Amino acid sequence: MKINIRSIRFFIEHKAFYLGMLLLLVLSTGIFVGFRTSSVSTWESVQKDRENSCLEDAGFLYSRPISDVEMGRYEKEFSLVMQESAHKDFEIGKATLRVRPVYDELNKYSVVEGKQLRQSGDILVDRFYFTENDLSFGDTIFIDSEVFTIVGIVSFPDYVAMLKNESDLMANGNAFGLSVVSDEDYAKLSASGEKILYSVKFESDDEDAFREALSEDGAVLRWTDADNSPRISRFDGEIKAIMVMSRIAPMFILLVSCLTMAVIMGRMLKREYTHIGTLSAMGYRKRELLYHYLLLPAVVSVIGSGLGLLVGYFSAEPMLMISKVEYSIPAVHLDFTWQNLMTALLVPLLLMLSSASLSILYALRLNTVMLLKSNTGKQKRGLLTRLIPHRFGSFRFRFRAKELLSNLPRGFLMIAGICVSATFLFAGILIYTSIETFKNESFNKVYTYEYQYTFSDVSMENPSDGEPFMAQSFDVKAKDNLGVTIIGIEDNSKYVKLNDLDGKKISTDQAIVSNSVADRLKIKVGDRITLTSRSDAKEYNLTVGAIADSDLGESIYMKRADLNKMLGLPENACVGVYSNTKLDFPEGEIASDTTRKEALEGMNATVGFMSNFLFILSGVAMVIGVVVIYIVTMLLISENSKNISMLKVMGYHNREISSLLTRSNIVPVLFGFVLSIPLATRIMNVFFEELTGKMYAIFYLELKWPEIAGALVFILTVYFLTLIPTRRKILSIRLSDSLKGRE
Amino acid sequence: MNANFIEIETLSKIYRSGSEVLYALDAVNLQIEEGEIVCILGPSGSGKSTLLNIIGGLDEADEGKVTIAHQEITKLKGGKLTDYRRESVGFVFQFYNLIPNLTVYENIEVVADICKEPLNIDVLLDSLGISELAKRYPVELSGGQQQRVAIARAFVKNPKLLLCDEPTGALDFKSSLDILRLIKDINAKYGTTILIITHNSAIAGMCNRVIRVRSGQITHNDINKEVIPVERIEW
Repeated sequence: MKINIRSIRFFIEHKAFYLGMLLLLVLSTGIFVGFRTSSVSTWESVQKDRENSCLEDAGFLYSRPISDVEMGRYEKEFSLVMQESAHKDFEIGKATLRVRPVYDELNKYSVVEGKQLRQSGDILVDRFYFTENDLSFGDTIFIDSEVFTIVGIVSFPDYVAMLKNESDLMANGNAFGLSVVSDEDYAKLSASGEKILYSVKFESDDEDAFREALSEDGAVLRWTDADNSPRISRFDGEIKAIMVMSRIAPMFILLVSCLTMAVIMGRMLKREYTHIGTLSAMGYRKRELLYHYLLLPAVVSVIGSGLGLLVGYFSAEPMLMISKVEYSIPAVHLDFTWQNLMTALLVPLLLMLSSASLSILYALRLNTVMLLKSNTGKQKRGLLTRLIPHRFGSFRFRFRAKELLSNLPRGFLMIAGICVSATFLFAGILIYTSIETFKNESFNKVYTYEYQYTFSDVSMENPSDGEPFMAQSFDVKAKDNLGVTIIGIEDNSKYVKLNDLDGKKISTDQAIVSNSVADRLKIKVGDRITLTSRSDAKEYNLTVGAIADSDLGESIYMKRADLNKMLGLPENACVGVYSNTKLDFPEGEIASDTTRKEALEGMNATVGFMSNFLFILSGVAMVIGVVVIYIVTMLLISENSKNISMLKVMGYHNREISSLLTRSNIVPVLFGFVLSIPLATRIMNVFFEELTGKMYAIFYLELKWPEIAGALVFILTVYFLTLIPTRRKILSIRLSDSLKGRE
Repeated sequence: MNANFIEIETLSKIYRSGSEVLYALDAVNLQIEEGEIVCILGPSGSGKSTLLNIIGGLDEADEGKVTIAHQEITKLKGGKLTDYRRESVGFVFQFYNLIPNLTVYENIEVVADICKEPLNIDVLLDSLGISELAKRYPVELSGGQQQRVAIARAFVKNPKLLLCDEPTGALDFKSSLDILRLIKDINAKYGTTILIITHNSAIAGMCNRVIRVRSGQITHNDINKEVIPVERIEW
């Protein structure tokens, strides 16, 4: 229809609105397609790799070698696949390079980039080691006097987080690398640094029986379920949290876009009533008018979503870097599913058309005569505006209050825009502050050591240096997969300070449960808990003697001698020492050493992946904020053009007019800001539940007044800066406009 | 003149406000012949606009019957009423109601686009003396020029009935005469039946029939025996 040429002119006339809408739609669709595709594809690729590479269900360290015959017997008896998973560690420069042979059954390697192992002397290394050491394909490295040529980059399903030790908190490509060589080459290397572990994959539910059998035949020194391995579960937690956010965030932006469209359409149509009436009088049918007014939202939606799809398509690959920064993942095949693409295209279109239709149908329900009369100068004043008493407050106060109350949809739009924007901002702040709080108030409050050394095996006597500690991992019987560690410490420990929630020192003559454990298990002083040892599957009962003010890990503390007695070990048995000075131990005696600095940095690393994601979202949040503030302010000015013109005629300066009109928006800005505080906390709680579900840490999400004040200053700064370009619009309104009767 | 083109029988329109009942039209009877120029005079609130709106199919009657060219429009609903407006009636409003973001040509094209046998727009613009305005936007035109465009828009469908609601109400004297002359010319050239609502009794002189309305009733329905040329109208 010829009349549809108006749509193009509408777009040009109101380009600021529609470009803002386009931007919101591009952001929404782009984030949905980009983040969703990259996060889901990453998750699916890792899952597929775990399946293809046969990820173990558990790994364990045994007190003696298990022969092939024994393994065959276990496999048959307990319906499982068992593998000897040997590796050798070599010091190359400042880094430890862990070399694996080719595993045939479980935890098989995948080539991420480069070539497979083809001949003797070929080696594949992990991406972190490859990048941090500036290596290239074809470079040679010397391991134990043998020359190896790097032919590719490798990933292993059981080493997604590249941690040298399970107790390590962060990956460091400069200090640790993982590699694979052929079995023949592996055999050539010195066996002095070799460690034999065993991997199992269960085909039935015989895990407990198998562990009992292992305990009867020897001693399981350490047992780690794949679900509890930080090398695996840390990634799972973060990627699941990202997948949740990749659904929530675009939906929020889309809702703001639809609300914006509904408000714009509603306001635009109000000014169109006479024209709708005229067109109706001339014989246009409701269907034709509906089609005419829906055309622009439909086109804007399709163009916005289409551009968003392109942005998402081209950004999905770079977005993979977010996960690659923290994790060693296999090659990811980006899977742009039709379902996602159609959702990205159709959901905005449907929502946009629905919100626009509501506004249009609202106008079309009026009969032609009413539509024709609607712009005759008679302005309806809402009930709310009548609530403001005559002569109440200053004129400016009343003007602003009436402006606000007579335009509630515009106010709601501002509230929604600021709320979404501030929610994302708070999400970033909450991540940062929860980690800072965790570091400062939990780690520093409990632990005062500078170095923590963990021995390769249990030492049965006190070491000559440092303060010894004992540690043993257990599963809580009542909670699936919730692991706890009982740490045996010295009476009056110098390095572990345990205080109750009132700040009073707690005696170690009892089982002291950290606050995070008490919170998750919902237990209190006097309750009994049943724990199953991860090494031998034996059950132990503990009575909670006290709760320590500590949010760090799933830790239970007791006197070392008491723990050893409970485990049937000599009184002085220990697995490591705390110290304030660097200690020297004979080679092979230490399994891991962690400095305080590394431990604190590790806290950041645990959520680094997600922080990157939130950093991007915060940027997006600001764009949303600016777009919505700009659109609402432009609406305000354009709807008040006659008033502005009249104020100019009466002698108001532009600055005064701007202040008179735009300051009424401060109220919805503040309202949206206040609403965002509980909303952000709630969303981040869901987010952290996914993230920390498998982590030995509980983060308390709390916004403090200085942070809230800082965010408010930031939002207000964005608000006032966005107002600057809108003043040009006020300047462009002519004095003569007020003297014209109507268009 | 031919047989009755418009026949109105006991037409009533009632507005209710709480317990108060207001008869905008109270059992109005009226016959208008084809090709007449009819002037409907009356003060504000007399019911003249309501009468025009019902005849034009913009509003619905509460009681009575309106027949236009043997078609009882009071029986028409929804789409049929729209079809009636689309093909049979042209409207001219006091404030022109041109669409501001369409050019003069496009404003006329908006109507030409939806009716079955529109007149040639260029010919129409030429005959109304506004060809040179074709590419301009309403905001660039004077009131008189805008009303000429509005008339062109109303007439492009070559309607049997042209309804003009205060067509000169927003114009100066000279522009008003131009518009009235145009209306007269259209009537003469195409034989279109034209109803003009106005406060201005001076306009009555150029019409074939003068109807006076007060409080929802027709008080006078007179044939004007001495129709004067537009040039002789004074106020």
